[in-house]
Amino acid sequence: MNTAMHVLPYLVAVYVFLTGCYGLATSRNLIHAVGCLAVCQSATYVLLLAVGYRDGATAPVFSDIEPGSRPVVDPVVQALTLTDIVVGATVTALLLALVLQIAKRHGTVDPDELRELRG
Amino acid sequence: MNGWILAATVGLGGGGAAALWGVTTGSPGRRVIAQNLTTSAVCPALLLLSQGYGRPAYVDLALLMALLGPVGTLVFARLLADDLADERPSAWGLTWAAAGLAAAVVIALCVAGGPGRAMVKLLVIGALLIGGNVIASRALAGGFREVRGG
Amino acid sequence: MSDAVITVSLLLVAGCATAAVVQRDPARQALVLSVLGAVLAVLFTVLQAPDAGLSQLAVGSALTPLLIMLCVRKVRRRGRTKDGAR
Repeated sequence: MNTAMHVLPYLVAVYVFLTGCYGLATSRNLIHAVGCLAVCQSATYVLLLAVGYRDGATAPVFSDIEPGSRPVVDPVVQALTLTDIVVGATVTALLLALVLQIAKRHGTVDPDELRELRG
Repeated sequence: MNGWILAATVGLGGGGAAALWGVTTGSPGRRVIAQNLTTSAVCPALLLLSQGYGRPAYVDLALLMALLGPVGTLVFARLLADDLADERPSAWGLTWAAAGLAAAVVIALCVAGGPGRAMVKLLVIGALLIGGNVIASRALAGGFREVRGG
Repeated sequence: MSDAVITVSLLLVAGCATAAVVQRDPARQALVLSVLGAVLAVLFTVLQAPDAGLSQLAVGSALTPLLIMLCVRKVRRRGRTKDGAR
């Protein structure tokens, strides 16, 4: 039971990532594909925070508790996750701008109908 | 496991599952209402979690959610207005039930915390939650009439 | 101790992510992504990372759905004007 609890966050992170990849691969609409990429990125947030989590510990924020009074979770992975979230938002915005340009040039957002990358 | 965290778990399980089911099935009107009620279901759970973990700093998350949740719903109400044009989604029973839940949680936390700055913050969050929920529901039910050309 | 709330949050995230991928229409997917953003913020709180939760709320519940909805509207309008001009 306890081992299942230790492993569950990683299993969920892997599941969410694979689900996002499945959606990305089988997508018929580029905007839907960008949404699936956002899902993949959220899997990485879950993985990072699961790595840093400690049982019974609390957040490394000391505005309302004394430093050193309670055990805290790892703060480095929280900084990584913060960066990851912001980068994810930026990448989503950039990709959506590219999708708009594709719609303007080719008149479609269906990846199967875009012929430029065909060999 | 103390009682606050247990209450938050129950609230999250029930509210989250209901919101997820509502947002994935049915007409666009029902989906937008479910997205609106996500805020009202999750924000009280965040308040209960902050009390359960003994960290008053977590209340800021509930404050931000009470502010940004209705903003998200208004975004959808404005940009999905064409899809919602025939429907005028309204669920006033659910809206008032959500307002009742928010009020109950805020009152319970104020009683547990005692008077002070923290209580003022909780009351502000409760007011924002209920007000934001009512405003977003009005926007969904009333529709945006000037959207046809925009 | 707080294992139950972590399990519930993780299962909610998994369910939301599945729903977001299964929704093929981008406008409906934006709605599910908004719910996913809120549920992720709760998961971050439960994993004792409120600062990440604050960023995730700001980004995931208002910003990403807004971007996707604007893109959907522009693509739809472009498709409509092309059909109208034909």
